[in-house]
Amino acid sequence: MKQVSMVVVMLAALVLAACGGSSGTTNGVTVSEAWARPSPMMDRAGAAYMVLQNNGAAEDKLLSVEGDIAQTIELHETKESGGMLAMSPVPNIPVPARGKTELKPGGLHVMLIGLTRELKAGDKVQLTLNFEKAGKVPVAVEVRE
Amino acid sequence: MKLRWLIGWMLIGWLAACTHNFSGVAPNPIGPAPDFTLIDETGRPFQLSDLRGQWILLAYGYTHCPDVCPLTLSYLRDVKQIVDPNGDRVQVVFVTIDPERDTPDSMRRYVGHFDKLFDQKFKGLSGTPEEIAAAAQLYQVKYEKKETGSADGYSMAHTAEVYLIDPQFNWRMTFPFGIKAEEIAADLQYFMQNPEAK
Repeated sequence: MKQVSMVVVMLAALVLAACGGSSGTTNGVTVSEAWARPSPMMDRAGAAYMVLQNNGAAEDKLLSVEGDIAQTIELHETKESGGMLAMSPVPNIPVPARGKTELKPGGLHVMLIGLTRELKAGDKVQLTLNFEKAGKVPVAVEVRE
Repeated sequence: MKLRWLIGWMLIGWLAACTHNFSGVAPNPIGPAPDFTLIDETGRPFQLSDLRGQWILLAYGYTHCPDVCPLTLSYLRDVKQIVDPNGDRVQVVFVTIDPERDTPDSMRRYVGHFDKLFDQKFKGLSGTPEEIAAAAQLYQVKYEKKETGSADGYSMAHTAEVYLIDPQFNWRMTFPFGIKAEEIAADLQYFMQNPEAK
C-alpha cells in the first residue's frame, strides 16, 4: 500500500514538473499574468504586460522578446517627465533577486511593432522572453480587455 | 443633553449623505469650457460646443500610442458603459496631439475600436498642427515630439488628463491620469443627480 502511494506521489510530481515547464517557469524566473489588449488597428503597435518573478539569489535581466506576432518587438517604458507621460525604448528590464518586476499599463511593457495578425480578445499569443541568466522562457499572452 | 447628542448625530448623518469625495479636481472658479473647431473622424468640421446639452469626456492622445491612450480610452468606454450605455447623455471626445501622422481616417479606426458597444459613436478629432496646438493650449494640454530610436518611429510625450464638461458647456472637472473608470463614473453620476454641486 505504501509503495502504491509513493508511486502516485511521484507520478503527480512528474505531471506537475511537466506542466510547470510549459507555463513559463524555468531556471528561476516565473512569468505570470501575461496579457495584451485587443489591437485597435493592425498598423499600430500593441503592448503586452506581465509579472516577472525572479526566484534566484541574483538579479536577472529581461534582454529581449521574440515572437511571430510582430515584425519587431521592443522593451518600452512610459515615464512621467515635466507632467507629461513619455514612452521610450529601454535596453533591458531588471528583475531583482528574489523579487518581481511588474509590466503594467502606464509603465514597463513589451511593445509589439508591425503586427502580423490582429490581437483578438480570447486569443493567446506565444512569446519567448530572453533573460540574461534564466535564458529563454516561453510565455502564452492572453488577449483581453 | 440627550437632545444635543441627537442633533449632533443627525448632522453627521446629513453630512455623510450629502458629501461626495470627488476623484477629479474642479477648476476654480467653474466657468465656460473653452471651445474649438477641428476636423472629426468623418472629415467634417466639428465644433466642441455642438455637444452642448450632453456631458462631454474630453481626452487628448494619439493613435501610435499603445500604452497610455488605450488605457484612457478603455476607461472612458467603461464610464460610458456604467453611466449611459444606451443613451446620448455622455459623449467621449478624443483629440490627437500628433497632427503629423493622425488623419480623420486613423482617428475613426482608433476610436471606433472603443465605441463598439454603443449606438452613439465617440468623436475622434484631428487638424493642422496650428489648430491642434491651439485646441491643446485651451485645456493646458502639453505635448512634445520625441525621437526615441524605436522601430515604431517617434513618440509623443503628453499630459493625459480627462476633462469633464457639463451640458451647459461649463468645464466642471479634471481627472488626473490613472483615475479609474468607476471613480470617474461616480463623480459624473453625482453631478447628474446634483446639478448644482460644485
